[in-house]
Amino acid sequence: MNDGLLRTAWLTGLGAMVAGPPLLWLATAPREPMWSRLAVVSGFFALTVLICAAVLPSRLRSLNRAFGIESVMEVHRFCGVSATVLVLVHLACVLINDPRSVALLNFFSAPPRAQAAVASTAALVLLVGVVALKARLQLTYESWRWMHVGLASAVLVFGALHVVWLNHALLVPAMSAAFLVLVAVVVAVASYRWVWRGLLDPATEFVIHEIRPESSTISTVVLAPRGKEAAWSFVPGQFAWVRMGRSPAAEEHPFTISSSSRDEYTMFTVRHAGDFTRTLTSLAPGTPVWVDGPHGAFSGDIKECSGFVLVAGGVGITPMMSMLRTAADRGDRRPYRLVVVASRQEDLLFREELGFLRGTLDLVVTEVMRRPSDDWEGHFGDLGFGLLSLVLGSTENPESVDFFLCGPPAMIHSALEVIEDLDVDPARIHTELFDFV
Amino acid sequence: MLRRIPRFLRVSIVLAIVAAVALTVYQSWSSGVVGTGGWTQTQWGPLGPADRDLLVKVRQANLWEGPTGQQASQQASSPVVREVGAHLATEHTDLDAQTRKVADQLGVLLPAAPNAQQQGWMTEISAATGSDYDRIFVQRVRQAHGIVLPLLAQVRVSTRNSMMRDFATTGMQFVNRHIGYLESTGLVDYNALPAPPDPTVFTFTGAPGGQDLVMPTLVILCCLIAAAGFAAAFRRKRSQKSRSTMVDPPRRAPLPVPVPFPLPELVAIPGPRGPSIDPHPSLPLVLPGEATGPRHAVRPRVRN
Repeated sequence: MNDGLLRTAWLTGLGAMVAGPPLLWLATAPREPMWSRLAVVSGFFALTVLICAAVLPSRLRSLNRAFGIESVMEVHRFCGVSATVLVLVHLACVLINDPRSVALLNFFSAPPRAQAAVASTAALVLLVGVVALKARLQLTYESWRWMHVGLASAVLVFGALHVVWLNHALLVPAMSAAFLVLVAVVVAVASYRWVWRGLLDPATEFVIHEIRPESSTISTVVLAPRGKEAAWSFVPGQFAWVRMGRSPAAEEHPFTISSSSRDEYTMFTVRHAGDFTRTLTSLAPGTPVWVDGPHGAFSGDIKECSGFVLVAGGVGITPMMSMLRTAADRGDRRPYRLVVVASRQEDLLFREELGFLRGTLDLVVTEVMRRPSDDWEGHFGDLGFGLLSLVLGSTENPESVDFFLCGPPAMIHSALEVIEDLDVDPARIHTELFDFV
Repeated sequence: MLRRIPRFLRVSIVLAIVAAVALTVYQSWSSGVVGTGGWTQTQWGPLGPADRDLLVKVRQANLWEGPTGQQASQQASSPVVREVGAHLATEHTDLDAQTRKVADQLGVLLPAAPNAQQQGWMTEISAATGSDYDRIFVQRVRQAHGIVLPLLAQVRVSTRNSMMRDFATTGMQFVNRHIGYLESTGLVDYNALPAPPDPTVFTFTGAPGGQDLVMPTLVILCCLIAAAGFAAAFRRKRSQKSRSTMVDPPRRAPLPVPVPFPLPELVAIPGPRGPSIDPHPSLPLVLPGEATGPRHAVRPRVRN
């Protein structure tokens, strides 16, 4: 399916899931007083927006390819906050409709349907509260992740029980059918994410072929599919989650693929920043690892591009390497302008290979040093208007060039500011920020 | 397009919610519940809020007392209570049909489920067994009939609507008869019934008094403030994020770019393949076929 059609299909599906049940209730339900109806409508919206928030980050490859992981996560966060607001508005409507319902908030004397609602609301408020205070709580990524998944599951299960035990809306056959569809969607997505992709899918199994040091702090992990017929294809610039155990509970981290999409092996270039990456880069050849991917829309293959300005900071060069290596393998004649930002000369990666690629591609590499040594003769300082306009101006059609930015958030934000000053069409700016926490 | 999708989706979700709320208000408005001070004209005379409230209350009474009577006709231990349960079930079905017919003719919206308190009673009764079941069933249903009777009487004596007057008369007959059935079991504890209203307090519809509304009002306010707080916190976070990008990082040194490549001289830049566009010579240009290329740059096996 082409990517425009894929986006339209996802937008339609998500839109129908969010707005369908509440509108169906308005169309089919027996007549009832306004506050009662508002209570039901806000409750249904809260439920459908919650389900949307749960589906979005479930590693659906076609969704992540259609919108890019950044957009998906941004909409996920919006849905989470919206659902919380809607739940509280729902509670307010219920009380305005019948103030005596306040007795239902007494957890110990309330009937099960109200207990489920209170439990779901408490879990949701706690979830959003922890997200808001995540910086102050200083949780590790793993504990934050499991708390997030656990609370989100509690919110959904108790929310569904509230609807079932209330048995109010489900008396209308159309609503009961819509509710079953919603339950089926959640069960299917959760099974796909946690059981099939997390545990069973043979296409996620790889073995370490080689660990290749690139510098003192960075290595390339070269992987080969474990099964002979494993289906694995990606477009350059995509990323995948890598874990060292078969279980979906094993610790995992996202890494951008750095190899060519035509290469026999799949490579991830990683910095040995923590325990996980240190262990990963010290695995012996033949050790199995599990790869959930490819994900993301940070790629020149998703839409038509006539030229590329690639801005990379640190290990943010990995998606750019994948794009350049693939371009070289394809005999791509389009212009590539790579701007590499590094703190020190030792942090410049793949210089030899980039030199080789300059001979086969229309590639110009501009290296910018943050903290240059005395013998550095190239650019240094920040990415500025002058430098980027110079790079852009070196292409034949600067107005039809696409920008790809990957690196530390501060670098991306300052580069974005400059690119906006260059009057680049926002549709031509692509960024990749792994900001999942 | 990709960078605009989050905004597009956010706006779509907010628009769908606003549309649904607008539709809800419109549906209620067109039924005359809001916007006309609660009074509408009908061919049987003006219809006021107390008339509508009565139909809603009787409907809710039917919705819980009918099924509860049905249950008592099978589960009660005493034959007398079983018989009373059967009477209540039959007569509430009859009264409910009349209630729905009148509400339909007068354009009044009726609820589809009993209220929270009534559902609580249903749970309490269902959970009891043996003689406890009989006692709780009779007490709760008798108490509920005691709440509806004054509402019927108020509308009977003061409504401006002839159809409501007839309905209230019929309703009072049903309720009086039911109170008689329930009291005939001998199980009613009169001292446990709510005390008669204080003659100095005027309660027109039997709606909750000011005292009872304090807690619900507080909870409603808390909900709305918390909802606004969450929404505002999220918005502030977003705007902070975008503000931070506006801060230009301090520059260590003046940009050297204009020196080797002053902007006016852009046209003089050699063709894109020219190695001199990269201003420093440290990155070597390796031509294809040269055997000195780095080992992983020269990929021997490439899938076709």
